[in-house]
Amino acid sequence: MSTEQKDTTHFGFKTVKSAEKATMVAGVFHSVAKQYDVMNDLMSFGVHRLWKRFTIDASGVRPGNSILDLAGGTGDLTAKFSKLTGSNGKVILADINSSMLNVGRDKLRDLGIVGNVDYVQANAEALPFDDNTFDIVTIAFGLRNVTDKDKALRSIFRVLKPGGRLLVLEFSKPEHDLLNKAYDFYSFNILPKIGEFVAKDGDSYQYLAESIRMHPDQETLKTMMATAGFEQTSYHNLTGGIVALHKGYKF
Amino acid sequence: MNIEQLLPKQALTATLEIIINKGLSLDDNLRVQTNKLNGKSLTLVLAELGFPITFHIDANGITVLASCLADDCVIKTNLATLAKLKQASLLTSLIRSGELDIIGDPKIAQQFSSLAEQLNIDWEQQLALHIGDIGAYKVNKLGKQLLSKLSFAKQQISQDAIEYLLHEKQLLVDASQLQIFNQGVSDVEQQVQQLEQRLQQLSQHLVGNSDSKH
Ligand SMILES: C[S@@+](CC[C@H](N)C(=O)[O-])C[C@H]1O[C@@H](n2cnc3c(N)ncnc32)[C@H](O)[C@@H]1O
Repeated sequence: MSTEQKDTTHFGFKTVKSAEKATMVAGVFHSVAKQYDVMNDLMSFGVHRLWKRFTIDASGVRPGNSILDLAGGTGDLTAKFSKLTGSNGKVILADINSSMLNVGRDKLRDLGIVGNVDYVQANAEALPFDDNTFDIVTIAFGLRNVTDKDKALRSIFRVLKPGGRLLVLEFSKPEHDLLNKAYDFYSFNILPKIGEFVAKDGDSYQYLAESIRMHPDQETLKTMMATAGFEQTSYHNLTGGIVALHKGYKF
Repeated sequence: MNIEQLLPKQALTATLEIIINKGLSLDDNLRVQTNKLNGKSLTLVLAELGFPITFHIDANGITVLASCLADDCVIKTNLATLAKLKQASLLTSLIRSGELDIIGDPKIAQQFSSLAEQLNIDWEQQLALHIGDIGAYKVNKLGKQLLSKLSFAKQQISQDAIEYLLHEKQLLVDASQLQIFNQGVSDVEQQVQQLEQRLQQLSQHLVGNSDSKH
């Protein structure tokens, strides 16, 4: 990471101008928005639902909480949080991408999730919320797409209330070599083919596989969170470390 | 890789949630009943499970969590106690002996349990549908234990028992305590009578004395 020049960043395995990454990521998610939920189930064999449930269970949510589901996309976490925080609480589904937000809004409306959810188009690096606003911020499978992750973590820290917590659910580094190899094979050989076949969009899924590999591993992300000011930082490996849930508090 | 990483708790709660919601959606009458519990939750903390299970109701159905949520009603006990609870009379003594603890409103437990009773679910078949036959058999054993836990509430927490329970920690008095108390009362009664007599004697004495002074 330190060898990376300031005005360039990764877009998957490619090195691109930092200023361009957001647009390229936007292209990916505009392109996959409609098929996103189907693809999630297909690619993870449905296990992403359990990863998200684990995140909810670990969040310590209480009725009445204010919750930000950042990079919330099609709103899986928002739907759960909305029910649990209830009419005295509030959930904001924020995403940088209008196509993902639209798909999310329609889906939640169809599920009967109304009343305590707001939709906000926002960049994680510069959140348009007051300091000390949220009890919980989640970012699920979102952080790896953000250009300046440290800036995003600081921005999240700012909008959390003291006592509030951040949960980062993200692909990570499998603990065992064999799993790592199998996972690599799956990501680079099978996943883009499913993407091509089902969503007619192999390139976007090639990007997803590459971006997963370029994302900081467990310990690195934990350190980044601490650097941004989070305390009691910890992580749980899920499914052999294919995914990890990081947690940190603002005090 | 430890077993936790395969998320068995979340698999269990996800399966329960799907099955219960399906059961609820098939019965309009039940959905009316869930309205009463809108926004409320019941948490079961079973010692053997090692994690809490929360059932939360909202306008769209039920959410099942492998964690705590609120203090509406939390029941702490173990599976062995569940079995004992088949005998209604044991409820209070189980609470007293610390084998069962209720935080919050026991009426919520009653309402949840009457819902569970009425849910017409073929658990084994449903579970087999979702997780395969062998898994279904294992989970069903656990499910039955959980259900008997819930149905305890139906049988044991009758309206009377609830009132009983609500006052248990401060007010409940058993027969022997009552006897001691009654004995105490009659002792005091006797002492008061004796005191009255002595007061009477004393006042007569005083009256007599003052009479003689004049
Ligand atoms: C893989 S999706 C995850 C969606 C959802 N959280 C889930 O778990 O299903 C990643 C999301 O991150 C959003 N995203 C990417 N960069 C972002 C940024 N800088 N700020 C906010 N959201 C961003 C994308 O638009 C996309 O919707």
